[in-house]
Amino acid sequence: MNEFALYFHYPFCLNRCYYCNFTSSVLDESVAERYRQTLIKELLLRSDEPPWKDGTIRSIYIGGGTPSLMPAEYVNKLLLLIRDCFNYPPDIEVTIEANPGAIDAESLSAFHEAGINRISIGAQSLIENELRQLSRIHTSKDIHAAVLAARQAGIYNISLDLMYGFTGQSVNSFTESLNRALELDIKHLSTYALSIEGSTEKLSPPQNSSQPTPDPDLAADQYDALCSIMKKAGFDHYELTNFALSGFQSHHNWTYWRSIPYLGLGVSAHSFDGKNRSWNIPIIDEYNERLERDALPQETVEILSMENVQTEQVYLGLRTSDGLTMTEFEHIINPRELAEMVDSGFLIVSDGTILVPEERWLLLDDIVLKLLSKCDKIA
Amino acid sequence: MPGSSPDRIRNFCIIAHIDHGKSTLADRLLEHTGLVDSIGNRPQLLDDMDLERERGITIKSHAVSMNYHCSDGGDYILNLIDTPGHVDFSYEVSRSLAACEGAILLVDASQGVEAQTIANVYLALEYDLTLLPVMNKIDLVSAQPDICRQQIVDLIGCSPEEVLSVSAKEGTGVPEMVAALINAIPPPSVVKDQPLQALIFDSLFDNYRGAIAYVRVVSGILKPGMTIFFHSTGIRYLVDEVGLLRLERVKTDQLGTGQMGYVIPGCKEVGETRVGDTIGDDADPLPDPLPGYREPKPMVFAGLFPANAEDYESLKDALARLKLNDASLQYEPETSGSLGFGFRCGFLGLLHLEIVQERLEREYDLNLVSTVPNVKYRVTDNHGEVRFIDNPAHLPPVSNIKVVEEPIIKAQVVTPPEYVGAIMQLATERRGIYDTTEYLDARRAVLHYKMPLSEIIYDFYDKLKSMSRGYASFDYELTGWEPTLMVKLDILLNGEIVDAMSVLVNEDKAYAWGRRVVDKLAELIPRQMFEVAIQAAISSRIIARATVRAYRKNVTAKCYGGDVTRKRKLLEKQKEGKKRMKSFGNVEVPQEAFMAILKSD
Repeated sequence: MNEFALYFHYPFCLNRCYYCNFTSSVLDESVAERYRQTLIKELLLRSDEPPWKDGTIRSIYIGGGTPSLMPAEYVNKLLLLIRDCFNYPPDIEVTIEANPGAIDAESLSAFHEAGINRISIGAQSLIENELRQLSRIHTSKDIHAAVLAARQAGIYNISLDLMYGFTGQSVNSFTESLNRALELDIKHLSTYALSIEGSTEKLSPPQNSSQPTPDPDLAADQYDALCSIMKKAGFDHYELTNFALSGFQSHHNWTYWRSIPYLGLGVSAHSFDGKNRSWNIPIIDEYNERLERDALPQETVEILSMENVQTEQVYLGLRTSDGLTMTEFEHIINPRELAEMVDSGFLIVSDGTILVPEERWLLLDDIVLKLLSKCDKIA
Repeated sequence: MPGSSPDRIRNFCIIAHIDHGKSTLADRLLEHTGLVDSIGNRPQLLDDMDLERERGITIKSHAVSMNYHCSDGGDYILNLIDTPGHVDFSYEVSRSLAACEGAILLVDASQGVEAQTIANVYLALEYDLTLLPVMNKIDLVSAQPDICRQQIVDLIGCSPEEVLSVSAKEGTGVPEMVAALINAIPPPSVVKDQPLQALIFDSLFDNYRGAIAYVRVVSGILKPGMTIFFHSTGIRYLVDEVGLLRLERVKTDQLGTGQMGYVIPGCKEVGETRVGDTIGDDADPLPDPLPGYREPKPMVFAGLFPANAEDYESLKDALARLKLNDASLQYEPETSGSLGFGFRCGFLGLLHLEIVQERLEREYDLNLVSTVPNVKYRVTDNHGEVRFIDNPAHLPPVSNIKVVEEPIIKAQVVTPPEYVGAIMQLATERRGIYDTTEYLDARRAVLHYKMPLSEIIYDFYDKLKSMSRGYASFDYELTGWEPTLMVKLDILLNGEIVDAMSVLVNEDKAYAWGRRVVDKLAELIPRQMFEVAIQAAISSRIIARATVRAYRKNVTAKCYGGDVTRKRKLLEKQKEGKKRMKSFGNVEVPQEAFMAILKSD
């Protein structure tokens, strides 16, 4: 294996959002300092290991958490080390996630100088009372400021994250957020419908805000509005949750949907070596201790069969506007369900490619379950 | 062997209303006779099914032999059969009674005589059993021994002094009760030199030994090596082994006259040892079987289908095995347009149905769908030909029907007087025709009704219990057939009839039934990719309708930082959820819906 994407997880935030499902904790500088050291250590250990050793990096993504809280010199050091460890082509996409309330012009410039060329800003909404309701620490003003500062720092490839489907948000207010986001001249938009699931349920929203519980019908209406607005604005809806102007589709995201290998570093980070999936332990202290003993912080390796990989490729591939090549997956697809879903407009087959039409993407889970219904296990 | 002569044997059972403490008293007897040291934290020792312990009820009869050294110096064998208490299992009770000379009539001193007590007393008298009246739970603060004693005296005509008092929970009064039992209950009567006759009162299937019959030897001797035959089938067997029922089976040389025990006849075929059947000696056969054997009569019929079609053979095998332990279960293959291959089963009642379904699912790891249960109808066509219909799908076209008759029961409800009004209203709603009311005492009225059986099979018992705060009790017997105006009501999902949901229902009740089922289904069927139209129809006339809107969003949106595994697990979970669903065309219906539509809120 030569090429892979690289992901770093920085699990610290200025405050904890109740809907967040990532491993994260409120910033404690001494813990963060220790973590930054162990993260580097993991990079060094892994770079010596097959199959990553001597590989070529396709893209880098620093996510979190709030990685924009990282000291700029640390980001610089990290990117320099990557150059030492792997083949690092000069023009690859290097993204950092930023929170509008936790970023300044100075560090943005320093990030850019270090090699960051793409920023993903966690705006969530551009409506003040919605931001308060989501207990974000930033205002819409902060979002404007962050976008301008990034551009001034030389980072032109700017993506915003927006959220929809929460109580208190209407179709109109989401449309308003979208229009304001488009006015900022962004190149890329990631959207996601708030869904409370799994361990997120344990955290409750702040007492003083009305509880944003997901409403699937509202989310569907908002999704329809989203698709039509983004189309008008000339964006390519290249994946279920992602829109981009031509040429700005995220390289890093593609690695996940096309089952390209990726190496995830940091607490709870996931890796895929082309055959098997694995992930790191999700507890910061344990992660630190493990690496300080020169041990790899891996928690689980999931061995995937060939059929497993292919069924994964089906449900990841159908998330994209490229869809799937029919012939590659024919043997795991239920032909009766395929025919029925084509008849009722849930799937399109053309030129040997299977696609989910944009307006049906929100039912992707059902479509995939039906399509793969002849498999004993989904993966 | 101590007490092996018949006059040292006492065969008895305990009859009681449900929850009056039968299984606990059995536990105390096991301790007092030294068969077990202490029940400890394994109460209801004889109830060995998980389901029995969980529900706190006895489903199967259990038999146990205890040796007892009496203070009179004699050694006795006390054979106890612990019997089920629910109204559905009155046939099981009858078989146990037929194997006994006497019965402990157990009454909860805080509850008094209830419907099941009365029904069981009548049944015991039918079998000429000597009754030993015992009040239980005298340790309770709420116990009213004087009132309870009087009720018992009124019921069986004994003297007040004959009524014993025990606390099965604490063990008080148990030694006195055992002594009284040995005195009061007669030993098995012996007809000298009569050849072998043994009554099968229960049977079970052992994976290693095949069928095992629990028997009461009425005359003669049963021993290994002899050739026996079963009256109902005429098939001959070589006896492999006989023995006593302790907590485990204990092998012996023979079972003598009057004794209870087990026999392993070496039959590997499931379903040959029929409960209630008579065993005879092939070398010296008696022409007639023992009296008391009745073919069990199922009252309620429903289809049971495997949720996964490939489990059909497993279900067939599981039913065959259950049938061996459960003489009252009947089944035959059935094909449903909507559910595929399955079985039409006959049950004693709704509890019996639930228990069978639960046992099949638990003990045989099957996933089942049950259709709406119904009673059996007697249909006479225009040519005067009579047919019994237990499946809505088999109802002839209406134009060919001259008359439909439904089974009628005589029902008795025992209740404190304050609930009489509410219960009368319930009975009227259920097409009950009032007969009489008697008072057992100031606290207890007995209402007698004539009712269609179909009106009590769903939730009558639950309703009765809830409206009387658990005090009212109920029992019934089948009396005959009466003409009824009945229609077949179909349920349609997106225009397709789901035959498994069709019911035969009284014409006057069809509209309400249809409305209720449609609403209930609308509640139970989850939103899915397509809109679901739910309709109730009589012939082609739609009488109720509801719609489940299609949902528009079901996707796990984000691949959090490359965590594909998490997304896949969410999909797996959804796939698991779908396994509990049954597809009808493009509509997915949760399996629970089939049973849930029966229950009113």
